[in-house]
Amino acid sequence: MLNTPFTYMPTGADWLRILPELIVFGAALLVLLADLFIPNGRKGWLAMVCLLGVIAALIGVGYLLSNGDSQTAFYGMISDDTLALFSDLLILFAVGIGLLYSPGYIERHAVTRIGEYYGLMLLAALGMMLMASATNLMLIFVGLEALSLSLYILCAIELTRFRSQEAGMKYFILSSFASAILLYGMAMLYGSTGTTSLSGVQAFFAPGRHPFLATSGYGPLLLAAMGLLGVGFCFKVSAIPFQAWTPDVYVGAPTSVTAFMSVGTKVAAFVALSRVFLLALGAQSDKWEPVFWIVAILTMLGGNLMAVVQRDVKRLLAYSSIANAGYMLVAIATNTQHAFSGLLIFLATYTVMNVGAFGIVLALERNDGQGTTLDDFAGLAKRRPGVAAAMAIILFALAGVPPSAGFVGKYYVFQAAIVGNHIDLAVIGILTSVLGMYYYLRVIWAMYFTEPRNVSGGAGAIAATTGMAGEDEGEPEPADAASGASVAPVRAGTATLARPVTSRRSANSRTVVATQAPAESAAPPLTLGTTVALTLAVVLTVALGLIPGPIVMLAEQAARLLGQ
Amino acid sequence: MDFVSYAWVIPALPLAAMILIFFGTRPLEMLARRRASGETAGAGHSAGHDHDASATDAHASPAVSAQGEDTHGASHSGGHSENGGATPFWAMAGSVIGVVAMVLAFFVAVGVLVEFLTTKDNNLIQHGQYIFLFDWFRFGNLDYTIAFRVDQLTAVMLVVVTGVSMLVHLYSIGYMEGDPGYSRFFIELALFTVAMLILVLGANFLVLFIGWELVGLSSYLLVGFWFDAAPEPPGSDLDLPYPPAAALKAFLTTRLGDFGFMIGILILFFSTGTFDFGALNSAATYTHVNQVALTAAMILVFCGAVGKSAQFPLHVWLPDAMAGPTPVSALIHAATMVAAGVYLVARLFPLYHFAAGPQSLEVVGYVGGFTALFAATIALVQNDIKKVLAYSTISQLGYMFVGLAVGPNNALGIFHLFTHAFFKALLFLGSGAVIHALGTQDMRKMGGLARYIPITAATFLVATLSISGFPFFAGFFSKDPIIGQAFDYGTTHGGNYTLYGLTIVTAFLTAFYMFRAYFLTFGGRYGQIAGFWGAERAYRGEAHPHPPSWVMWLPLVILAFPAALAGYWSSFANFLTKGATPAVNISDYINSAFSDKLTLIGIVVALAGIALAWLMYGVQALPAKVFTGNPIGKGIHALLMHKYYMDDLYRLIIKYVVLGLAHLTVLFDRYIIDGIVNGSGMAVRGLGAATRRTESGNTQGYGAAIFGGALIILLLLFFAVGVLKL
Repeated sequence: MLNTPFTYMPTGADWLRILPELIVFGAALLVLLADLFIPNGRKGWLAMVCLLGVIAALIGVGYLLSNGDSQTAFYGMISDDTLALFSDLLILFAVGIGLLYSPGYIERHAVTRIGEYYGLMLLAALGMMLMASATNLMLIFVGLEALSLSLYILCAIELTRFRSQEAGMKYFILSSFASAILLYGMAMLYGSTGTTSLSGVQAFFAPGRHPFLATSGYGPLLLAAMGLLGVGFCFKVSAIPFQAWTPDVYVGAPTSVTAFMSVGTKVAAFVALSRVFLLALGAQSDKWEPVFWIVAILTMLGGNLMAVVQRDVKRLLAYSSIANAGYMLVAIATNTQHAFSGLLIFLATYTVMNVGAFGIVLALERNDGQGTTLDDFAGLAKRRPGVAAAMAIILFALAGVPPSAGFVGKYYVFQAAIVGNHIDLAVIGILTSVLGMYYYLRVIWAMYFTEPRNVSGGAGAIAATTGMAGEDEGEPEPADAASGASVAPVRAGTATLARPVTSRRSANSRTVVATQAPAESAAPPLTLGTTVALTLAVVLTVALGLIPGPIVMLAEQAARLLGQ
Repeated sequence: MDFVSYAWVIPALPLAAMILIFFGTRPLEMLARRRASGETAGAGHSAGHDHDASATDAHASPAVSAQGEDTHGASHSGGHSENGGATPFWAMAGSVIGVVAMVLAFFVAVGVLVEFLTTKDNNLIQHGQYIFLFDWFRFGNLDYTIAFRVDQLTAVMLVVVTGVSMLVHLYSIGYMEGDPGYSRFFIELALFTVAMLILVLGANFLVLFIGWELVGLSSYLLVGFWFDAAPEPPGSDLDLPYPPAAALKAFLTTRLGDFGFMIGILILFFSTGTFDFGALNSAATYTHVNQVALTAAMILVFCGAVGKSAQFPLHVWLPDAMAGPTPVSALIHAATMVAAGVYLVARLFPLYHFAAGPQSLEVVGYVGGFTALFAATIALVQNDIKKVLAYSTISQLGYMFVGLAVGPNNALGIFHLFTHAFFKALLFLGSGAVIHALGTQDMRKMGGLARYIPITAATFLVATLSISGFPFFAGFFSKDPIIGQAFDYGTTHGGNYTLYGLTIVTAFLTAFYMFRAYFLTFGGRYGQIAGFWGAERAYRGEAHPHPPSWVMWLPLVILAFPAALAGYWSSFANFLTKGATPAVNISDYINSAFSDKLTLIGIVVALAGIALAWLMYGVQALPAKVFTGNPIGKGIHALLMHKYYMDDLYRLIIKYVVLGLAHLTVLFDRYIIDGIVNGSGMAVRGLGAATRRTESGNTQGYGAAIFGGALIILLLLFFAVGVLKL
């Protein structure tokens, strides 16, 4: 076959099968083009164009869900099966919410390349959709690179904010590293099986296909391929021990981007991971299952443990996203169709909750990127009851309190683990969820049961926390500040109040101090887009918990791929 | 017309009414009150205050006046002056919406019942019909469905619930007039009705439980309706419960039973894999289940019924629930809350009767029989008219459980529930009219009232005759078969006639205390027709009784008909058991009524009770001193007055055992649990701090970590597979 000249003529049906991707791509081009003609100060229209594109793509997904043929297109490169459409749905939802957050964020922060910002948001989403829909190793890699390259730039798009620059650079270096490892793994898999097509790989391991190999073993090449692929994917989903980049990048990136990428990347990477391991390498599961078993346990334990000591809520959410990756890996390690649908349900609920949580952070963040520590959340219920209530609902959901989306996700994953004979994983998952309770509920406690402390972070705090180096603040030790790589420019308008002695009894006197904080450092009121996005996230968080039926049905339909 | 398919309208109507009142008229009403208060601020309690409003209830009057003067002062009277009535226009509109919704729901419910009575569709007769199905969620082989189904049992319950609720709604327009919480009352009333309708329509435990809990919630809201009522005035010995405390008591006591109920449901679910009643009740499912587990499950489920239906020992909440407005008492006692437990056992009757061991129904029967007698004895000495009725409800519910336990099918118990709903609603609404007329519920300050409020007296008399088992009234036809069947049950169970004894003695006591209440209230010494009718001389109170308005007496008159005649539904058992030959059919029963010695005994016992009451309270030829004059009688009287000291016993248990345990637990918690938690918390934080060190921020370090991790994973893979041996 390799000797014959390759010809393939795409048909109209092929194009129809990638309808959502086409729409997003078209919208991205349109935005880049329109950016030339829209004057500065009116760039908000670009967000509108993007949103319309996303909505059109969602309609496309809906069309394919009801009328699609679940076939592969372009010579087996990409598929419009329910799994792909399910992931498209989540990614489009995430990018839609991210776009709703964006105008408000851009207005307040030093984002100058607005056209590029919006274009790259859509291109990143396109990359994620391609990665999740790909049925060929090559396209998985192309999708991965498309999303990564877009995200590198998006992370670093705040030109004057040091942390944003650092996040972009760090993400670029480490992610390239991981991409190389992944690509190396793909090459080795190709070397072992002679094909890059996932169905080809699957067929290669079909019983009776290669009786000689089956008895003598497939040799180190295949093992190396699986190992390297696993490492690459684990990096992308930020599983321990490949998680180190996650907190720095999530905290440094613009919050609207973080909200989108923290869930979009996970969806794309987990779906691609499932396609490669659960589906293509399903016959070799005895070899890779133990690896994911260990990684899942490490990730659940480590992610939750590290989250416990965080005092910055944005950073806490970054660690919580690591912990949640651990729960999702439980489903991978369980490796049943049941668990796979559990994973998809978990992804859906996690998407809804996490975009909401980062949205709250965005709403409270001040222009200098500060204002998200537990101290800033203290007494929030009195100052901004609506925001506090939304945050409380989302945090309860993240903690897995029924009847919320978070409970539904965890219920399905752990139930599948128990049914799939992985009670060990379920027990560790439930126990670490208890740890999760601690740090999620602590934020609620701060919002509802403590008096407001000084709302301003203060220059001292900034100095202590500016270095990207392990600045899990809380104890602003001088040593930490000194070890920081650099010191951020302290903004002129920032209050320079000394950090008061932490004693709850003197809370009243402190509120007086707090009111003297300069107005400009306080978080501004919500924009319309942010309000709509937050409302959507909260409503869906509650709705998915109360009526999980439809999403469960869709996920089970998507997971049926494994049964084939 | 195909009523059954439209049965979903029945709960939808009160739900819509609730939403409409809540979002439609209540805000407008509050606006109107505020505007009025702005205009007449400082006017305080004025002549505009209607007389009706101040004389609503022994509770209502302090409540209303307290609110009138303290919290809602200006707004309350302001509403009067502006609208010329006690209740603002918008509140009135809300209540009318409620009544209209209930009337429509009632007609649909009747339509459903008629359709079941006349249908020839065998499938409908045998299996009923789903009217709503929603796949809540499903995972693997576990299926959670929200399903509503109508069958014969549900159809009967629908008529009872909507019928009584409709009349209570109408009645409340008059009874609650001028109350500051007028709209709130109708919202909660509608919620109560919706909850009960969900409960009886539910096709599986999931839905039933939602309804069950909603009923608990709305009863909590309604019993505590006058949450800001003043405590009982000094000098009163009626031991009137404090509404917030009573509401809490009702909620917590039933919760105790619900604990067992939930465990029972879970056992059933785990052993059968389904919540659906149809599946649970079919032999194909339950024959595969371990009988011991099933018996335990059914007894646990009955615990829930004990709580909700106020059976011994969880009966204590019901008398206190009198703290709610009287229409609520009527609804709780006749059609909703307490009927839920009986309905539950009836719904699962095949499981109890055929599947579980005989112990489960024995428990049901003996708890019911004992409660019937127990509550009846307490009712003998109560001076509060509502307390008498409350204990009579507990007692009659006991009859229903006995009926379920001894009957060959669930028709006996449900038929008594059916007739009881009407005469008990009538009794409560009648007592409400009395309380409304006098402003007190102390029977010692009544007497001869038939002279002043004849309609109330006449209808009350009908209900009293009915509940006493006087021949040819509804209660006779539903109660005597239970007593008769209890005798047969004794014959077939080795001559153990305990249940028969309990029920027949209770029948005597019922007739006695109900007529005692009637004579004390409406007739009595110096009354006309030998004390059976009132006279001015017989009146012992001071307040001038005034007759109820038409919205209040109309429901009484309407209810009097089913209270007297509901027993003539002769094919009830046939209907309920879907044509399977029942051992006791009411039509046969009527035919053999006077040829059967047992029936004659029943009638004689009832007449004896009435006669004794007449002697003691009608003409007072036999003063009560005859019984209470001696030390033994005095002791018994005190025991009964204090309700067998059950409340005090519980108070002691709570004070010393529960709170003592709580103190112990606190110590345990503080020193041992907290120690462990704090220790592990410290350990976790230490671990977290240690792992945090890995986040150095150094990109090269991160890269090295990735490389190291990759290396470890590869080594792991290679070792795991043993490839290095190659």
